[in-house]
Amino acid sequence: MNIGHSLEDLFSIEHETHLKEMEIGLVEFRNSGFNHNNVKKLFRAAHSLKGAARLVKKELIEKTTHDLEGLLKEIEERGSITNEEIAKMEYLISSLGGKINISGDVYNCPSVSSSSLLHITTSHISELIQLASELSVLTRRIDIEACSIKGLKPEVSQDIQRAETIANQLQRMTYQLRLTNLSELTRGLHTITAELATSLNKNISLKVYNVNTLIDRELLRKIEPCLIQLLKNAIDHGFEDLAERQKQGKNAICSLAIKAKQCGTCVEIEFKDDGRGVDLEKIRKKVIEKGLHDKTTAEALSSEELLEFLFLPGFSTKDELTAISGRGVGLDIVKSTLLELGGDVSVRTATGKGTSFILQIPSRIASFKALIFKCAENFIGVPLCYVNKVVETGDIVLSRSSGQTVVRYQDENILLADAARVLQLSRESTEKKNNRPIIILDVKDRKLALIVDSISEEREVVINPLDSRFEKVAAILGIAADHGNKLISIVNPEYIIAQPLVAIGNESQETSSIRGETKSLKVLVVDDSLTVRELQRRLLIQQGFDCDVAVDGIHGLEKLKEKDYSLVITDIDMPRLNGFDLITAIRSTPKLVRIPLLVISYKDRSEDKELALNLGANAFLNKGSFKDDTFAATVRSLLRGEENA
Amino acid sequence: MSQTVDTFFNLPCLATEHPTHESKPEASTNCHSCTIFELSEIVFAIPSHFISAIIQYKDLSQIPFVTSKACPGFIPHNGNPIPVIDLAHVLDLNNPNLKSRILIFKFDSLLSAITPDKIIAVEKLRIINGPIPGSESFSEGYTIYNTKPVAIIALARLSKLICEEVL
Repeated sequence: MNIGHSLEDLFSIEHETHLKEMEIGLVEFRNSGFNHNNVKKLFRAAHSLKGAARLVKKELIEKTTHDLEGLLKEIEERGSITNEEIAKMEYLISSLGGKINISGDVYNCPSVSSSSLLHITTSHISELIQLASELSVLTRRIDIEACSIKGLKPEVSQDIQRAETIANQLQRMTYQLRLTNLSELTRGLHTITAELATSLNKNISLKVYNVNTLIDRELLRKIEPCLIQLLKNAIDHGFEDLAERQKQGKNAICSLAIKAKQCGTCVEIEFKDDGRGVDLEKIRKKVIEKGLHDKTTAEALSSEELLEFLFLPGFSTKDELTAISGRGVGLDIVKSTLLELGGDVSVRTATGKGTSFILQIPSRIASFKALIFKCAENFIGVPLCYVNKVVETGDIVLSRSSGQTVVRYQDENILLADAARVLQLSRESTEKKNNRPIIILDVKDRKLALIVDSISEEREVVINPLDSRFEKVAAILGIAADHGNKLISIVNPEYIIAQPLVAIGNESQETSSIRGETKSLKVLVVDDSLTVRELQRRLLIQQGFDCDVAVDGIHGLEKLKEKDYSLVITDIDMPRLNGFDLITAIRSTPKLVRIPLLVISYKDRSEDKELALNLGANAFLNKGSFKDDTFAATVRSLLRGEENA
Repeated sequence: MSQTVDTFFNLPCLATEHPTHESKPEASTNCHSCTIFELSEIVFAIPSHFISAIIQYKDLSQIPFVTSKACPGFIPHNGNPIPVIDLAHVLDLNNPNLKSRILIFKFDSLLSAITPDKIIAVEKLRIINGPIPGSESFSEGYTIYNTKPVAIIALARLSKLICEEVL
């Protein structure tokens, strides 16, 4: 679809104008409900945009505005508007809104002068990046080869180097095409803040820090609704009214701050307000009221555990609904959106001081310095920001602690693990060199010493994601341009360090277990919480069972493919594959049909229990069962059942 | 000597272009250019329009947490990492793969590769829809090559298999 740039430019301006009118109209609906004039204004804007879209063949915009017209007509005929209709309208208008339109075409950013406007698809940009990456690698290889050619003319050598420089520049520039900075998003947030502040009669200051932080355009488009949701929540019920703020000696102006920073391959966005904070006791009360936990269990929940309930669908601490928030839909969507993108959201709160939501967004395409090493004949990279130190085995003290081999480093005992084993890479040769390098990884104050075959180099890499079939593989950040005929897999140290790891020297114990030389029964624990996993593992070992752990449903299925287990214990809420889907997968696998399945969830909801049992679980416990011997007794009973059967 | 699918899938030898399997009464027919290849002494076919490239075999790179028995590695091709499927393993063929060629195919916008032992021919052949009985999982039809039925590899199933193996 090629149209002249001038027409495209005009459409862009018109699009922005009508969109603004629609956004104002939407806010008016939210604040004042049905209003005949407002319907007319919105209808006119939608109709004009539809006509313009038809002219420039923007079919999806034309269709969306047509749907909006239909909705407005119904509202007009009935003379009233429902919350569902406002939500639908909001969805339609937001579909029309981003810099990347709903057909996936990137079109003009209004702030850019018309002479620099470009019409190009995102897939073309991706192809361009890949080709530029390949060209960069090729010129690099030619340069290396050229060095070994005797009698090469100096001019040819200079030309090769020049070609390499140009290829690198090209690679960097194409990479920039996919990125944008946060200011594109925050302009809209300022508008919404101003509108909501006026409608709720609150004085609010929104400050955005590090707006120049770069982020993938597509990711930004996907997280935009999340930030708007957090903004609405904060403004609607995060801030106290003026009288209350003054009573508490707070500044009359409510403060909202959005801080962005690059953390390795992730962009972290902190959304902070100085409001009243989350009322933990109110959450506890709601947990009991909604029957999510009995009173005893709810009272034992920690503040972190209580805050997790905010991300449950339909959970709201607000007693009254407003058009802006309080329906209990919002934070669950924020969480699920972030999880889908391979990121996460967490919350911190202090009573009377405010709340912070921290969004971690992984970059699908990124450029950073990586340490590249060889492991089982493969090139692997780790982002340099996670590398604390590289040492050789001969230069460091190895010792045994709690039955595991550890590296003594900076007064800390760090678990030493074989990289090939941790990364699940198979070696063709079992021969291991002496004095192999050790990479000490440091992820959020957790350290791991990885022993590798050799260090290759340290260099800037541009990573591309694996295709959509592998998008759930959280362990791989992406693949860097090839190294000769080999690919460089850039691994995610955050994922690796969260894995159950076997220290060097303990493999024999695991191997004997794999071969079935041990007569004890094997139990698989599937839970995304490290603490819960470890607690269950220890309890099971105390009971004399062999125990393996998996960090989510997908990992659990992998384990079940590899080994035979006598019992599976699983959590419900897990990333990638939740407990329900895991139960379904297990029960649809012929060899696992009869394996006993125990579900343990701290969100002790009756509907969850019913569903889990219907899907084929044999028992359901809440996490309070660890406090007495209910857990151990249930495990023993399920295993006896299997033996009897 | 190469086997064709009739012996491999334990089918009666078919001498005509219109086999008369009882389980396949209404086979619709159409002609396509097909790439015929051999793997573990068995002949298979893929419609040529799915094929992006056939290249010399090169060593595979393992990708942590991704490679499996069905997908033992990846190759770089035009800047993209392409998963290579071990068709011999998937079809449970015992003979070791000769590692001579890599055939890259595109299905549903996704590139994947297999490693045939030998490319035999590219010919316009009549494709008969529907799986050959006994080979439902990885065949989506068959063609007659040299008077023998040859299974058309079900690329959709094969392409999807990679992520199932990862999962």
